[in-house]
Amino acid sequence: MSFFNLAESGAVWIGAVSVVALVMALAVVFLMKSWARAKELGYTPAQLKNVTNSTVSYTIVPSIAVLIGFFGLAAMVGVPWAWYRLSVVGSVGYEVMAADSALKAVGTELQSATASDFSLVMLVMSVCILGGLVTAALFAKKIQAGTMKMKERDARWGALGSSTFMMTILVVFVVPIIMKGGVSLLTLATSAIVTVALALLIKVTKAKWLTNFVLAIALLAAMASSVLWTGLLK
Amino acid sequence: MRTTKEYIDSIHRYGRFAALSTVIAMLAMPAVIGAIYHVLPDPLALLKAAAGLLLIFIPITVSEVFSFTPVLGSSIYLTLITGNVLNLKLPVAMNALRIMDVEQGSESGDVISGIAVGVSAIVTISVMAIGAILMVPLKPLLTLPSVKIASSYILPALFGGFMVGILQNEVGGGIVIKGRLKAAIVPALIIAALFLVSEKILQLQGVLIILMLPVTYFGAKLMYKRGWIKVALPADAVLTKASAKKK
Repeated sequence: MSFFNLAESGAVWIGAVSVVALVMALAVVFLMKSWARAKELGYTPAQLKNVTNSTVSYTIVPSIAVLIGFFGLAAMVGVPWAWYRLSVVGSVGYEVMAADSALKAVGTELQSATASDFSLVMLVMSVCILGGLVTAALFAKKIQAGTMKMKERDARWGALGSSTFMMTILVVFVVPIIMKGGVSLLTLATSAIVTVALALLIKVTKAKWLTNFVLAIALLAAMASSVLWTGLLK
Repeated sequence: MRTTKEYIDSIHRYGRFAALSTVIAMLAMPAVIGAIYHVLPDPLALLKAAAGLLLIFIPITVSEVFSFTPVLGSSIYLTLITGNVLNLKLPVAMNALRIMDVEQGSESGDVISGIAVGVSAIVTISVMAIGAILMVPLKPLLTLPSVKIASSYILPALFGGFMVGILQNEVGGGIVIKGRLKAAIVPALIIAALFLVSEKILQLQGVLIILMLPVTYFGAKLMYKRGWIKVALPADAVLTKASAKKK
C-alpha cells in the first residue's frame, strides 16, 4: 500500500472526522460553561453577543490564512490528515515543519513512500506537539492561581504584573519586525495607523458598535496593504 | 451563585479532562490506523524520527503554557487543543478583553477570554471543514499570489493593532498604568541585540518569551517600587472626584 493510498483512505478520514468532532464538542461545552458564568457575573446577553460578533469577524480572516497553509500541507500528507492537524492542536508553521522533518526521517521520495512511512509521519506529527497540553494539565491552574493571588495581595502591582506578560510577547514579536524593516514594518505601521484612525472615528461619530470590529478592519487593511508595499519595494 | 474559587476549580477540572482526552485521541488515532493496516513503525525508528522535533517543540510548547496562561486563564486548555495560538486565539482573547474593558487575569477576564476562544475555535474548525470540502473550487482563488503575500504578513498585521493598545495607559477594568512601557525597554534592547547577532535565534520565540518574562516582570516591579510606574485603580478616580467636590 502506498503513502497516499493510506493518507487518503477511509480509515484516516473516519479518524480525522472523529477527533475533530470531539474537539468541536469540547469547544462547545467550554463556551457554554464560560457563557453561563458570564451571565452569573452580570453580563447581559447584548454584551455577550457583542463579544461573539467581534470574535467571529476577527477570526474569519486568520482562519482563511490557515486554509492557505492547508493546501500546501495537503500536498505533503493528504487532505484528511492535513485538515485534522490544522484543526487540532497544530499551527501552519509547526505542521509544515513537522511533516517535512518526518518525511526527511523516512528518507524516501513521496512518490515511492509506503503506508508504513505514512504511519511514521502520523505518529511523529502527533507525539511532538503534545508537550503544551500535558504541561497545561499539570500547571495551568497553579499558574492562574499565582496570577490571581498577586492581584489579591496588591491590586495595583497585580494589574501591572499581569500586563507584563502581554508586554513581553509583544516585545519578542514587534521588535524584530521593526528591526527587519521593509514590508513587515510597513504592514505593522499600517495596522497601527488604521487602529488609531478608527478609534478617532469612533470618538467623533460615537459609533460604539464599530469598536467590535476595529481590530478585524485593521487586520484586513494591513494585510491588503502588504500587497501594495511588496509591489512598491520590489 | 458559585464563588470565584468554585468556578475556577470547576473550569480547570473540565480543562484538564479536555486536554487529556485530546492527548489520548491524538495518540490513539494514528496508533489504531497503523494497527489496522499492520504498518505500525518500530519504536526506535519513531524515536529517531521524532527526536529532533521534540528538542525544538518541547521548550516552545511548555513556554507557551507559562507565557499565555496569565493572559488567557482557563482558556489555555482550549487554546492549545485547537492550536493557532499566536495568529488567532491570543489576539481574539485580547480583542475581547479590550472591547469589554475587562482586566486580564481577573475572573471576568477569564470568562470573557473563554467565550472569545470558544467562539473562535468553533468558527475556525467550521472554516477549515468548509475549506476541505470546497478544496477544488477554493484552491485557485486562495493560492493567488496576492492572497499568498497578504497571508504571509498576518503577524505584523495582527500585532500593529495590539501595539497601539500597549501604548495606552488604560489596561481594562478602569485601571490606568502610567509609564509601564519603561519596563519594556530592557527586554526590547536585548531582543534588538539578539536580532543583530543572528536573526535565526528569533525563530525560537517561545524560548525567548520565557527568558524575557522575568526581565520584564522584575524590571516592572523595581520601577513600580521606585515610583517610576504609577498604577491608578478605579476607586482612586472616585476618591479624587469626591475630594475635589468637597473643596
